[in-house]
Amino acid sequence: MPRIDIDVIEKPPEAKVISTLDGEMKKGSGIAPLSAFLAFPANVSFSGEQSDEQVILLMRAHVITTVPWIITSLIIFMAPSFIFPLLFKYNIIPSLTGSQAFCAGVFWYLGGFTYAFLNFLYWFFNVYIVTNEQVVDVDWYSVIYRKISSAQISKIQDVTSKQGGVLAGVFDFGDVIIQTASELPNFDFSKVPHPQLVVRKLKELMQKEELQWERK
Amino acid sequence: MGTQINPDLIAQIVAGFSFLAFFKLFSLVLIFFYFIFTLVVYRQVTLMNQILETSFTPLVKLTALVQIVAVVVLFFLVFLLV
Repeated sequence: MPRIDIDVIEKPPEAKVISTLDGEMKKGSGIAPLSAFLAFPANVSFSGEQSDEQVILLMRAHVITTVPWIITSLIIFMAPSFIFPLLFKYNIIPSLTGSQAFCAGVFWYLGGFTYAFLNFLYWFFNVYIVTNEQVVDVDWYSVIYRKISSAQISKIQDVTSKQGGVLAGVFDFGDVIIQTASELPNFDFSKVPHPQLVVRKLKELMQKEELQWERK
Repeated sequence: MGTQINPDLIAQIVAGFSFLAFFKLFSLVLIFFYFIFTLVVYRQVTLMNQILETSFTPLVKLTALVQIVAVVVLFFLVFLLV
């Protein structure tokens, strides 16, 4: 009777792939809650979520896309210290009394804060969510205009990723385009980190849905 | 008999209305619209928090509220100091 060595029994290949992909996603996951890529995030819920639904990915545009408005905000905040004294010195703008200068300063900094806060809100609330049941795209275009789209995983027909440019290559971000059979034909996850991981996870979820249908 | 507009009275009002007063009035109107804008932002933040809830959303809501208070303070500062 041949001896069976239990220690060398290997795990089924399917289980290995799943744990590797989830492991890669968790490795690429940032520090909550201000990260652009969160795998299996805790304390996250969204409108329309089912009780047995699990949020697998919560994504935003890569943090590097926030650099332009951050730099602009810093310039706005530093301008009173460097630029305005020069403008007063050469009488480009008339001199102000103490109280007028104080009010003007408060107005300037408050305006700069509003600019930075609005840009932060647009980045923070423009999210892409992947769960075990659906994909959700929350788009907040302006203060008074937003769009929320969702599609079941079973309705997804094709998933593609696009990555181009030096920054995208260095920081590993790109677009994930999802074609669906729902009312909204395309979902566009714009400038998300690790687009290849997202595509792989979506394809894995699509395969699971197919297997479930076949078993039925 | 209808009321007649006194041109001397109008001339007195215009002469007494200095550039600073006009600038102050303009600033107050601007800050008032800024205040309305911050109210709209707060409302939208509240709605977005209902759509997406994370551990950070209460802080975002608080920041929007602080912005409203700051604009109100600015309004009174300009009204009293300028």
